[in-house]
Amino acid sequence: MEKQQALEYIKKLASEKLISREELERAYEEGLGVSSEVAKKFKVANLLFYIGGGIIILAISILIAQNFDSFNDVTKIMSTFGIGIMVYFLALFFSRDSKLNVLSAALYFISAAVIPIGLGVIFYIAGFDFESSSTHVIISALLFIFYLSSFLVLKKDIFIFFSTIFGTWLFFSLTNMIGEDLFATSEFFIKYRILFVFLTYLLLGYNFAKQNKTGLREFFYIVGIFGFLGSAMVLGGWQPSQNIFWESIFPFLVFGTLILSIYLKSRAFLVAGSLFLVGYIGKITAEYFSESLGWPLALLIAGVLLIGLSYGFFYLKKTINK
Amino acid sequence: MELKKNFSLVIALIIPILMILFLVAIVYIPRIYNHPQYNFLFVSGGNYNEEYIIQNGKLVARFNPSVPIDKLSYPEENINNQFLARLFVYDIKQNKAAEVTLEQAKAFNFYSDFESPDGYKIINGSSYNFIFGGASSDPFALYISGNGLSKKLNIPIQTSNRYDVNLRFVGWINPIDSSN
Repeated sequence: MEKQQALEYIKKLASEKLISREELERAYEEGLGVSSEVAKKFKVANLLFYIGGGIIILAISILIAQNFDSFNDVTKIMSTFGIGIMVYFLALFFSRDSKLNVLSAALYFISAAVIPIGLGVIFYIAGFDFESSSTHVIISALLFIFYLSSFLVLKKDIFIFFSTIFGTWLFFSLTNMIGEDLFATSEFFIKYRILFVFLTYLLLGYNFAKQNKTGLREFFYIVGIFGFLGSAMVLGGWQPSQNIFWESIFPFLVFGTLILSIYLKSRAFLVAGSLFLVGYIGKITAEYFSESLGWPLALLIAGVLLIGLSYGFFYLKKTINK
Repeated sequence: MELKKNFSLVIALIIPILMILFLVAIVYIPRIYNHPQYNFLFVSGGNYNEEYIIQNGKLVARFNPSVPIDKLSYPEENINNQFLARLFVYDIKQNKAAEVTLEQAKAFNFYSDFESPDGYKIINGSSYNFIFGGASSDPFALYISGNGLSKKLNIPIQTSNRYDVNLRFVGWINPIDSSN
């Protein structure tokens, strides 16, 4: 049976309510050689790994915070930076066995949270000023180089994620350092750099989508589209100091997002576009029409628009799921 | 072919680099052609009720009676009607501040505008506390701003508590007939 025929048959069964989503998923997992029971256990195990990782980070943080003053410098460094590096190499060791990939990823997350704390401790002991952007530039640059090198050597996707996080930190701290004098008198660059950072995330997400890296695509699409539309909305400002250009262009950005949700088959775009359209209708109503029309009529119009929007949302969702 | 395949990745990497270059340009290029000409007077510290204003081109120092005495940083000294703030003249060409007495400052002539005749303003820094990157401007400093220029001024005032520094611009000095 051809793939298209099989999909058409599944559609027919679904329309006649002869097959449920769960049955379909179970059949898919069995086809992969994974029983649904095993798959569920895997999911629970993965979750426990990450929860365990979070608890370890919390425990280390509390331990260090409670005893920081009583530690000597070497102990301070070993209990933070030392542990972070040790966990990194432990993750590296486990990553050699594909069955332990999830454990390895959880350990990489722990190390990525602890190593920056450790570097911070080293720089604190060395007498660096943490209010200075240059200290942030040095720490973030070291972390960025470390994780980018890890990716280039080990070719693991998780390092792309860490490289981007620390690269973003480096970008913000470097622009803070260069633009310190300018930012004291102008918010222009500060507002636009956030918009462009999230645009960069969207482009990265698109690149990962083309490479079928689903996890990375989802992360960059979700963070990117919510951040991008959020920044664009902030650029619009609020009456009386609103920016007419950004307020006027915003609905086009939102409808562009909704159209892209079909093209990219992305629910993140659909949800973000819908939520920001709701937010925009509410904002414009409150800003311009609550005084002239009065709140009840303004709310009535907003309500009608939202009902129309919800219909559009389900229509697009159906199109994406096709 | 490879470039076409990874076009979005290339653009994603170019955007931050272009933004950094753009920032360097808008910060440093105005410094090449901007040469402010006028010195100015500023004060540091003192009590909250001390006011230094320009009236008819001259400095007037006075106490604001609407500030209650128990709200002052140094109520004991203020009972004796003492002006506690330190006054400084900023030499814009040499880029440094020199302390002057109240009497010396009263001898200067001032412009009454907040903006200098060549289009500059003196403003206080403000802190932006981002998750990433630390504070981006110094709230304990003065900046000169105008004609595309924005530059931190060189004011190294030492105190045990830096919140006591409390820098305030007073007025632009009119070089004509000013004995500076």
